[in-house]
Amino acid sequence: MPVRENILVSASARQKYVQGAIALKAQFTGVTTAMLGIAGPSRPVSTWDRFVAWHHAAMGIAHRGPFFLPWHRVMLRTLERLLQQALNDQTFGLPYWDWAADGQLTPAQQLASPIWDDQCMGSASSAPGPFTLAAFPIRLAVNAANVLAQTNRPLQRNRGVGVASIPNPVLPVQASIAALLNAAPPLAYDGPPWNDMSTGFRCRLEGWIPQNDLHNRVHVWVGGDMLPSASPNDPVFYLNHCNVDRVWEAWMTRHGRVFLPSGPGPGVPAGQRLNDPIASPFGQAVTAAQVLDLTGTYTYDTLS
Amino acid sequence: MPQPGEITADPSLEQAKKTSAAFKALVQHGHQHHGPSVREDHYKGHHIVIRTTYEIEIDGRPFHGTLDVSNAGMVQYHGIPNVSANSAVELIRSVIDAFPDDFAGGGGHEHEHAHPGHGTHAARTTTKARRRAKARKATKTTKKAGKTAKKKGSRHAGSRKHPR
Repeated sequence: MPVRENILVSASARQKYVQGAIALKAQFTGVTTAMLGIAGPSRPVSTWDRFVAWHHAAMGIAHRGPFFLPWHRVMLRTLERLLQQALNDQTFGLPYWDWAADGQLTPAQQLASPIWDDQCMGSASSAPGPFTLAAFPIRLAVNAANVLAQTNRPLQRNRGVGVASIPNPVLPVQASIAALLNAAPPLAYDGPPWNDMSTGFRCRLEGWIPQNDLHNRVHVWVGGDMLPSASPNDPVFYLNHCNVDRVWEAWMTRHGRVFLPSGPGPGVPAGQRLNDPIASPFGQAVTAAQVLDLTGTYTYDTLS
Repeated sequence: MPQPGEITADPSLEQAKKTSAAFKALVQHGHQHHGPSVREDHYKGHHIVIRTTYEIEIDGRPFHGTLDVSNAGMVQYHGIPNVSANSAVELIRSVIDAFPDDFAGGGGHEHEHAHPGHGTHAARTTTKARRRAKARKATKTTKKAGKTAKKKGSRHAGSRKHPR
């Protein structure tokens, strides 16, 4: 069974993840931009880039609501299986980036963390490390109007710079994770109004309360291609979300595998209840209920 | 055959064709609404509905993204889904930061405007952009339906000092 490991601890996971990402970037199975409804001449779309389109298409259901965590869990597991196929290694587990550990460092040290070594995610603001233009071209990106379009350019980051509303961000800290897991009384998974104002665990881990924290802040801290809805362009996207999934798993281990909303009710968002389906372009739909307990499918090296 | 509930991963063209029509519609239209942002609240037995539409120009050109406002007054945009801002102005500045290629050539002139009641903000314009732009404008129409919300007593909107 795959064990998901800290990318800064496991050299093997780091090397395989980079290798697998580049392999899926080069894997074409006949899917085209025309099939995905992307304007311009019809061109082949790689397996990696299909995840970019999937995430963009799911904007309205995968964020700011109860499905944030189960939807991304499905996405992560799907990618993990495809990486296993590409690597011919059924034991491969997606690595995670424990960004809260790096959040304990000074801002300068955060920028120099080993995750940004050129053998890992790379330090350059354009075509970083292994993700050169030749090996890892960005083919799909959104513009300011949030329209998915074809392009051909290097991967871009802007670490630690932020945007006007969140200038010069620093990474989240471990105390924020501890507060989330150890809240007394324990937080509910989610609750009314089921969006970015909910007081539950999901909303806080997503990073809406406190404003621009945790998962959201990591996206903003990395910047560049991690900012728009096409953020799965950057391999760091999955390292961030794998850590988010790990924190969710830690919370469920402590407080029970409970998902809310369990059913219809006033104000409950349609399509985001316990037994509503999560559609995938790579296979059958599954429900949130069906992904709450995947302990028989993969584990983490540590939940602390 | 996959087991019920199993997360499968088939990258083949055949699998992609099964979902391509629905997927294509989502990519082209998304889950995003294209109308006004709608806030609802219940207060002392009253049902409050606030519809907000932004009409935004950047360097004289219309900005077609649809902004959402939460009941707490935070402004968000699907184009940068992990960001919320305290105002539409702040959010649009963040959009400019997030999509530099879309606004290339828009820099070159830092101009400080002082607007009474709105503080001071910096507007980046170029000579070229200034020729093209008549004004940088963000206007908002707000309609309140249902019974009028008393600003002071509104559960969520009460802390707002200015329209966002």
